[in-house]
Amino acid sequence: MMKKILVTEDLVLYYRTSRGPVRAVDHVNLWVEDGSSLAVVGESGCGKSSMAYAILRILPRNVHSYSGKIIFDGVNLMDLTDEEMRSKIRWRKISMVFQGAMNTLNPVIKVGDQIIEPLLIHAGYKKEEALREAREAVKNVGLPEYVLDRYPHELSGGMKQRAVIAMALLMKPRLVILDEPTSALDVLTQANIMNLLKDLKERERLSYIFITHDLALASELADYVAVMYAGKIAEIGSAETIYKNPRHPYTQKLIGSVPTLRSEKVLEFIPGAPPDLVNPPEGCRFHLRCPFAKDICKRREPPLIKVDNDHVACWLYGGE
Amino acid sequence: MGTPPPTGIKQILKEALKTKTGMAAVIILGMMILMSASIPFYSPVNFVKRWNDLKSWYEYPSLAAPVWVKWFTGTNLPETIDLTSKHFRVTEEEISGHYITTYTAYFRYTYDDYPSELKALIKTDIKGKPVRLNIIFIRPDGEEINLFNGLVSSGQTTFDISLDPKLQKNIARFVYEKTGTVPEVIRPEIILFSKSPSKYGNEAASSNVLRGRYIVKFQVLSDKKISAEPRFIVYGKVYGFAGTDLYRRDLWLGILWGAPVALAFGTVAAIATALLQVIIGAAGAWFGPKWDELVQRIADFFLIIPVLPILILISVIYKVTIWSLLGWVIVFSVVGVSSKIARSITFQIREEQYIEAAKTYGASKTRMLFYYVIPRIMPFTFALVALNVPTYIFLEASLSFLGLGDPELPTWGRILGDAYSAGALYQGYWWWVILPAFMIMLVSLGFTLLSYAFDKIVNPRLREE
Ligand SMILES: Nc1ncnc2c1ncn2[C@@H]1O[C@H](COP(=O)(O)OP(=O)(O)O)[C@@H](O)[C@H]1O
Ligand code: SF4
Ligand SMILES: [Mg+2]
Repeated sequence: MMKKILVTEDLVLYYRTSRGPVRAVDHVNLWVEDGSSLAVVGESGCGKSSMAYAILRILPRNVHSYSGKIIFDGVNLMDLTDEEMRSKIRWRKISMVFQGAMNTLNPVIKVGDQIIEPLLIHAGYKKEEALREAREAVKNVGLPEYVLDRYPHELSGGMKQRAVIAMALLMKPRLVILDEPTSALDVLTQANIMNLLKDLKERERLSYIFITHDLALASELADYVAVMYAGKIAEIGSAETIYKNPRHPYTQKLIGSVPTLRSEKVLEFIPGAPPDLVNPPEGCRFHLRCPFAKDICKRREPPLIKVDNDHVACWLYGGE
Repeated sequence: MGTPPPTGIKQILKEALKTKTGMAAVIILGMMILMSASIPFYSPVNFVKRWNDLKSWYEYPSLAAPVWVKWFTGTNLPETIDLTSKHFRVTEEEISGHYITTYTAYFRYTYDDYPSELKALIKTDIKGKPVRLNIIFIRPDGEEINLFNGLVSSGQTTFDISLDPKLQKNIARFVYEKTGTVPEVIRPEIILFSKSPSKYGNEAASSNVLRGRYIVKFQVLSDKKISAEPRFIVYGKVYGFAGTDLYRRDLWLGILWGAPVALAFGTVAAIATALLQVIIGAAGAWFGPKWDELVQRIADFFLIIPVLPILILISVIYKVTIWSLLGWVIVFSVVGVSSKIARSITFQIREEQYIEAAKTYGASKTRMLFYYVIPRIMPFTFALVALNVPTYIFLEASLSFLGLGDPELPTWGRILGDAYSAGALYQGYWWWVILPAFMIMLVSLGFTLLSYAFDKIVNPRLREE
């Protein structure tokens, strides 16, 4: 068995709001095998970004509760101080490409000067040394050197995305979290970025968490896929099984709603609305929309059960 | 969809230049800067000292209008004629052991008006007892007037022909000999240059000016050979581009000097206060509600206190220089309107993705504040800074006008203050008032236009034409 670079156990992140706590990440268990990529898939608002923030401990001011274990390379990150997280983990070990990453470039600072920020802050580099590294880094993601001298608004969306990816890879982290790295791009640029990410994974032996709402993209790029629904993991397994042989009714619906070129199928849609994370339904969170819902589904939450090599949280697969 | 508002400082300047108002502003302010840059070519190094040393301006006419007044009025107003020692021809005679040295100079007087003043000077280097001096003034019509006959001692002697009662008596005698009457008011510069010195009441009319070749003679009688430097000044009624003030100072030099003082004071004050206000306002908002509250309450306080009266009070109590005034201005504006702007923009920026990202890669709060937040705010203050420059120039001018500004530096406000206390406007010395006032207005106009240009670029609402 492969080593697991990251394991979360009962990870919880609730936000405080006037309506009550938002259960954005609700006892999430998942893992990333070393050198592999995990795609986290789910509808928008299901808590994917929150989970990424929880792993890196980038918390907003209105945290209601934040608990569980985040075991990274054998160390529970929850035991580290904020300062240790800042100086030892973030960017050195785990870096992140934010959702809407193009907006993570400061419009008034040249791209080069921004890319080198982590090096200046963490590694105590001189500016010239850092810029030399940055030149390498942008080449690595297929960008011409001159982008370093440009302001963000002078670059195209795809170029900005590559620049941000270069910045995430700059300190050679073990794990990179990419939050919807392609969702704001046109299809062609999206494909280019996808190829770049695949390529980088081979070359740099990186582990990825790749967040997307696009299941087809996920199974294309990732070794493993975790399907998230309403702050919880619905199913986690190899990309192959998730795509070809989905077990969880939600995953099945999700696949049914993906248009394909090859087969003439009738597109399905998932009836009902995603649940409110302040007052999630009792029992299985999907039961109001699930065609197979049983009695127990309304009363008790299904645990994550192992089926063959995969895991699924659904009463249909036993565990009573 | 329009292009997003530019955010880099260089970009904003570049865009500002493209607008018409921006161009106008740059032309006006460029002129001011050229004026300031030309100073080394115009005025001596110790100009500030000289400006305040009233004795050093004696060769200039008092209250002369600008030269260009001639072109507007069509009258050929007199300019100063300065006969220095090199204009005088020297002849020597020896009569029974006495030396008579005669210095003779002539000048042509072709102006349409009388001179404003006459002065004769002589510098001798005799040791011992005084020598006898005779100053003779010969008019084109052949009349000879003995202006002075008496003893002078070594060194420089000045004869204020227009003011000295002793000399005036000689001139009155001339009138009496010609007409049999003694004039009530003796104005040598008119009598000596008038066709008919008799009809004094009317002779001020310019048609009475006697044009032609005038001769001035200095005769020195002594018992040994001496050398002397005579000088005769016929003061004009126009001088230079900006005229002169009551104290004979060349106003153009004062106005030129006022430009860098005003520009430096206004821009330094405006930029320094904007920077401080932005840093403090942003820091308050950045480091949490307690600091924010503190900064904002202090800002409210500073916004309602009347700065000008307080500064007047300070300058009455302490004697201020331009630099200490600058210091006080900054003290009373460490927080203010820009702090409020900075605060609201900081709240927006705080939610931006790149701040989140910066937190992730471990940038400290202070680094983020100075590297990410403040550079984002500065462009929004450009318009305000440009608008504040004239405010501070006015402030300095007001204090100087009241005689409470820097006692050394010639500033536009101080020139105006001098003009006011000399009653310049009632007396008709308009150039003393209008030119410095015009400069203040021009520099304000320049910065106001610049402010509009900035505002158009930075303020997205104004961008959509
Ligand atoms: N700071 C916050 N305070 C309150 N609610 C939040 C906050 N951030 C996110 N949420 C809510 O948490 C849920 C999960 O959000 P997010 O993690 O961004 O989902 P995803 O990335 O899957 O779209 C959403 O319902 C969102 O509205
Ligand atoms: S647990 Fe029940 S409701 Fe939930 S997905 Fe499975 S069958 Fe559907
Ligand atoms: Mg998200």
